[in-house]
Amino acid sequence: MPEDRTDAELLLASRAEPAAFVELYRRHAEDLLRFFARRTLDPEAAAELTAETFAEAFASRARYEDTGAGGVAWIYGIAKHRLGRYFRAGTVEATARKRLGMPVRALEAEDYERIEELVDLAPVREALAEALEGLAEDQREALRLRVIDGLSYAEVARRLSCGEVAARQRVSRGLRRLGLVLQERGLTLAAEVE
Amino acid sequence: MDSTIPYLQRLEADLELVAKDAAAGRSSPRGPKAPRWRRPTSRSWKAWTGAAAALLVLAWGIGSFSPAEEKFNQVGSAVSGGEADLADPAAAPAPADVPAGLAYEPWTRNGVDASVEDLGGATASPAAGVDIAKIDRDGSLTLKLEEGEFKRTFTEVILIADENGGMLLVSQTQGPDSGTLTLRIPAENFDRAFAAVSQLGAVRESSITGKDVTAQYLDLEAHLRIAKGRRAVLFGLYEQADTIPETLSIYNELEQVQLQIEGIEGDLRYLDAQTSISTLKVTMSEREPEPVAQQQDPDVENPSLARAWDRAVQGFLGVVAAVVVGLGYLVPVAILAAIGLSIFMLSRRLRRGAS
Repeated sequence: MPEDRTDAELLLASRAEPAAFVELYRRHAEDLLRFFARRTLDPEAAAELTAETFAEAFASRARYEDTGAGGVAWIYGIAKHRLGRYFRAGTVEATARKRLGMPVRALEAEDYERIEELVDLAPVREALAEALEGLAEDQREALRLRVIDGLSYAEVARRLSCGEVAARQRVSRGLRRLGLVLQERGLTLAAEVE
Repeated sequence: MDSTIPYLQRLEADLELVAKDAAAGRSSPRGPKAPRWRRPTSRSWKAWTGAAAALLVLAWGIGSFSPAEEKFNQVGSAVSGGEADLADPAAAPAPADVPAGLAYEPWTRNGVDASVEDLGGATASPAAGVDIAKIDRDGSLTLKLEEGEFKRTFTEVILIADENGGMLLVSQTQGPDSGTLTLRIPAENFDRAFAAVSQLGAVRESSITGKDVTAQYLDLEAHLRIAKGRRAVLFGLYEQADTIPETLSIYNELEQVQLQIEGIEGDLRYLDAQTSISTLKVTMSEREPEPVAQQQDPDVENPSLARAWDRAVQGFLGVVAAVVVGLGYLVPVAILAAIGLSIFMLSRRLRRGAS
């Protein structure tokens, strides 16, 4: 039987009827996974972030209040918070899953393929390659060191023989340029490296 | 919308399980784990109250039976109100450090009619094991004499002290028929003298106290040995000193050590004197001693609400004191148990998390 309750109603109902939360999950799991995959470009991190976001939403559902913004907005609020923590720490936490007793599952070969299909990374890759070509040499190198190699700004500055402020500016400008190129093509890529 | 991504399907199955757990008995939306603290139900109140009561009873039990003092051999006095007490050997105090078969045996066996001569060889010197210990013992006896016997008995007590190597320290008479004597008796003859004096009349009250000072004695001996060793070392340094300041400094040290040695030797001499000579106080009278007030129960003789209240307060305070003492024993054990339990729970949680 199709569920005709709104997201907010499902979240409110899940306090007394936890199974209602599963319906909410079915509605938004793929979208959320796509959201994470496009921002992290990492299927593993995206899957883990999806799992952790839903686990935290389930554990915190009693705190949800229907303010008119819709239930899914509340879940995406949690998702953005989790994503920020991921970019800062470089790893996905599993605290909510552990609290609920949920296992931390690994991706299988098929999962990688399916997530890449879901996100449709081909145009993203193409746009990125083009955008990278269009970047100045110092910005491209700064992005490579900071984003791909994961070095600290101090180390990036040392490698590029410049000050730390200059290194930050190069990375920031490079990301902004990449974001603009992707936006022009109707794609999104969060520049949440800070 | 059902997902075609296997990971999301597995995640959905996990969430369904969690939702089922939450629906089945765990009303808290915090997840399947039971909350750390639940509002106590009437049943858990009963359990907690019962546990607290059991703990208090246990503490009271421990507090009541815990040792109250460290005295080694305190022998309580037996107050006798009549002849019947003498017929009962259990009523007479027997010091724990007196070897079996010594002076108390003829006294309890023969009763008041046994003569001093009957003691014979039974009052041999204490066993070798007792010689090792340093025990300070004192005793007291209260005798009821037959009419006209006071003067003769008075002399006999002095003779008994003399026969046992002791002496009369103090004597005091109250009229022609009663008096008190304080004797100093060598410790090895104390039991024999005590038994002999107790045969001179009907014993109305007797007591022997003993205090073990062996540990104190051995401690002092050890300090003495150390101090003497230090003195020898200082003498050696004193002879090797080249300068006046060195000589003076070592001399001062030597003086201090010498004073310390003399102090310890004085303490040892005092303990020797205390343990080698015992005091025996003998109170004799041809009249019956005044009845002891404690033998009457004032609450029975003269009922009084005020006295009953006082006794109730004392009893209550006694129980509280016993509980406090018992908690002193239990609390450290409880803290250790709590720490152990916490470590166990933590390790179990970590294992679960790892799995």
